[in-house]
Amino acid sequence: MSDERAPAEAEERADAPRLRGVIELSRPADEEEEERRGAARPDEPGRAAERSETPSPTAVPPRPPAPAPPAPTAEPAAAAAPAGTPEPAADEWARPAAAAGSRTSFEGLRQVEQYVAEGYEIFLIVGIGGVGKTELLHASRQGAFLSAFGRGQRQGGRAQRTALGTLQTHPFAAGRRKVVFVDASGEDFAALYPALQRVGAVGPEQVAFLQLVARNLAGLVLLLDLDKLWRSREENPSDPHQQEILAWILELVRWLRLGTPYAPGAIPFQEHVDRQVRTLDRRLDVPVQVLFSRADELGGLTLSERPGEAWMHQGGAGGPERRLYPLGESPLLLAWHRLPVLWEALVTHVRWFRVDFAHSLTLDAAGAVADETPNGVLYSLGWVLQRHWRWLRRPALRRLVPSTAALVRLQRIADRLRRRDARWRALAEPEPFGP
Amino acid sequence: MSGRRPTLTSAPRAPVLSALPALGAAAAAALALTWWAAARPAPEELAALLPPEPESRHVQAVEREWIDDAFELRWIPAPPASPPCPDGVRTVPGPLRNAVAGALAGGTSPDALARLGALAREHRESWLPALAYAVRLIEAGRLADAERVLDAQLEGGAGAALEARVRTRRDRGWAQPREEVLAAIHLLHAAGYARLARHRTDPSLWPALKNPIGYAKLVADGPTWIRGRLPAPGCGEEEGRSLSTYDLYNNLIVGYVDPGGFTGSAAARARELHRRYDDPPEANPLQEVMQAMLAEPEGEPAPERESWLWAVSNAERLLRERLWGTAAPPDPLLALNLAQLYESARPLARDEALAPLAAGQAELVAAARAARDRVPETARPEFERALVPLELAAAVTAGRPPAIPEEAAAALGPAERETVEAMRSALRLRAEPAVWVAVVTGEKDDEEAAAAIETLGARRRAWRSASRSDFAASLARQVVGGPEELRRDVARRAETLLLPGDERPAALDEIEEGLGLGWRLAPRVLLTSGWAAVLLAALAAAAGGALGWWIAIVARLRRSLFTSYYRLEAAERLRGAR
Repeated sequence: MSDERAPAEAEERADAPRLRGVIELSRPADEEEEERRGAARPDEPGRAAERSETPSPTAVPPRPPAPAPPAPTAEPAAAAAPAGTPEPAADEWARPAAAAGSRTSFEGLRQVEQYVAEGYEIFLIVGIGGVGKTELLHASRQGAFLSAFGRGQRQGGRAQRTALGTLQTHPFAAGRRKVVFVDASGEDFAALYPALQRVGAVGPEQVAFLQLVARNLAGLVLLLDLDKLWRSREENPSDPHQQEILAWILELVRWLRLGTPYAPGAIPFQEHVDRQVRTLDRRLDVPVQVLFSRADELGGLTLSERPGEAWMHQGGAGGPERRLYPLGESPLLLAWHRLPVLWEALVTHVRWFRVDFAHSLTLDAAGAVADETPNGVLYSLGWVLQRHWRWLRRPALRRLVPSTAALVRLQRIADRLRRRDARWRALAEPEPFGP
Repeated sequence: MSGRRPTLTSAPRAPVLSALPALGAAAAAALALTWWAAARPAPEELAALLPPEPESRHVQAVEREWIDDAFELRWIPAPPASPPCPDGVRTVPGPLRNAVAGALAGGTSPDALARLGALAREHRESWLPALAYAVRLIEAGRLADAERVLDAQLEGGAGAALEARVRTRRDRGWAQPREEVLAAIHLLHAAGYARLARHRTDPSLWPALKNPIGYAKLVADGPTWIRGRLPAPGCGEEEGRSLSTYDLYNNLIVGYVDPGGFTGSAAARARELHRRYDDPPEANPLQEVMQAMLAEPEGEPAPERESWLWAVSNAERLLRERLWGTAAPPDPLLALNLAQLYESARPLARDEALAPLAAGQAELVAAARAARDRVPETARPEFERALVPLELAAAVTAGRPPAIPEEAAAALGPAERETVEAMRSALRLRAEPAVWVAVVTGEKDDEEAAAAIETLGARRRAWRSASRSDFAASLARQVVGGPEELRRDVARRAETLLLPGDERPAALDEIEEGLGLGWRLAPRVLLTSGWAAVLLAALAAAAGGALGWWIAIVARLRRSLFTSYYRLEAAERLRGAR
């Protein structure tokens, strides 16, 4: 699975202009000119210095950067809606995006609209480029239906990555339910993160595709590549920001589902979203499955090897290190201890979530597909697709079932009473696995 | 979960959690029903309130249904008595008499039958060889051949001439040679029997059944002619060689019922059904049945029932006019068939005639049983089997276990034997009201009673339901017309006794009349009634199911948090690889 990286990067560079075309629809002309003169791009090499400035995963999650100036075409400012404002009507949401004309800029958006019109439950898979979203969907593909993963769309036995500015739709066989997974390019998600915006600012036009999906969302799957997150290969600026990107996407989706629409004005878009979400009582009421992808390649990964952290090891830099062993880890505790940004975002924005490892295929030393059998994929996606989530979205039932955060709190209390709470204080050694 | 191939739509589940909603629903419903049962009157309390002999109308109806389902009425015609005695016949030439006597001595052997057949063909002008041959054929079971021989005699043969002479002499008031009258009676009786035994009905059947009764009056003495013997021509009056008038009536009644199909003219029907007397139902239940049928909207019985009505009319006349003063005819077959006629009359009888019908039927069954030794050997097994459902019906009426002789029980099929056993159990339970109440209300302390109720099998539910209706009726009937407070109290107890689906006795409505709706809405009545049980169980099941579902959801959520599906799938894969 991890071998997607090399071709993926090449494609990423090739597709980058398309995405920029979408994002920059509302940018001022002078910004475009500046970019043409050679302003740094988010995905260009040579941005190591900037990446090194990104906060450590243990730090408080960064808020989006200072708001960019409003677009010249913006209308007079409108005050943000107060807390508790009722959900806006669908057409009210549609207005800004439609006015900007950006919704149709995503290939596949019309298909998503069609699926929504036909009453499909929409599931969104999120992650930066190259974490294996498409491959994961392919691994879970079932049934005797026409597959979107035809031969022409696979390279070297692996799924071809989703092109920039493209929404792929994958209807699934899930009993009598009508289910479709929406798979967007990882770069499209990364581009929504304001800290990675080099020019301009994220506006409602950029979240048009997310807006359509979020309003009809039935579940979310977040993919995070721990290898990319912690090894800092300097290949892709979004790699070390995965937690922050996923946290921002969660915030956006929560706002899009539960907040009030943005009216261009004095308050920048990011700030509007941020203020709105802070006033919301409700969290996302769809199941969110976090998957640490490429788990087959995570074995032995040092937790967590970052510049300047050598002092943490016993006996200095050469001391014993805690290494990752996915089959023996508790994914939830790993996220609790080692991914605080993501954990905080989940607890803040999501009512029900779970964390797990997964890999879609295994590669040999030469990078060829050695085993196509996925592991940790089917059950985890099955958890998201469980029928009872639909019932739990009903207001009368939603509050009856405790949130994941509440369950974790209860479990900690129970562990404390049983004197087994050491696992909450430090990440325990992995359990052995084997026959 | 183990052994199951992971699929996209199935997250791993613990079977216990999946079953939790159903378990919760069942447990809650059971708790609710237990509570509800505890709130109902105790069996001892109920038994103390019931009269010494509780009403049993509903339970009797159920038990009778079991009998109807398992048994069919078997109408048994009386066979010919014996062949004629040629030596005693005077109106036939000597050589022919001797030849017939010689052939008769051979019994039913093929040779003897062949000789008799040859004589009958050679001497068509004489009734003697034909009658002897037909009786022997009937004895040999060759009913169709016998019918053919007798038809030849009675349709233009010597038999027809003989009957014509008897009729002419009767019409003109001339003296009758007894031998010829007896010959005509026996010829017709044998012809009627052959048809009845083959369940054949045609116009010639009815003269063959009716005329002998008229002719019997010509040879019997005075008002007691009904008890007179009708010896075979040339024979003495000893039993086994003679018919009785009961045999003739028996076959006529059997003919009307099975095969049936008789229809008379309006005038004949009016003449037959007219009575100068109007007896009370308890004295003459059959007249009450006839009147009930004639009171139907059309004023006439339905065509399919006319023949049966003629049977009832003849039976009524026989019992009322011919046997007045005697409990039942001394003839076992007639007593049996009349008892069956009473049984078949029950569905059409009005309520006031039911008890007299049952009493009369019981007497007839007793008479049939007492005279069973006189049943011809050939008809004995059929007689015994036909008597069993009547014995059971009589036992149902009397409320005591039936006394079925082993000989009769042995002749029954498996389904019939099972019904007999169920009836024995049910009636044994009913014989003691305290035990009856206990088993109906669910108390099974008495092992014997518990075993008895188990033998009812699938019939148990309907029997209990009918018993509850009877108990409620018994309770209610005691306070009909009583003070309101007492009626209110008894009505509450009776209401709590009934379950959904139980027939509501009329007496209960009677005592509740005037109590108004208020008392029905009283919590004690609402919570202990049968419908409350259904409602409580449903609500509790819904609540229990919802609670179970909630617990399962939360438990599943908690499990999914601390379970690594990655590890789980790998473990399953590892097991599969082994």
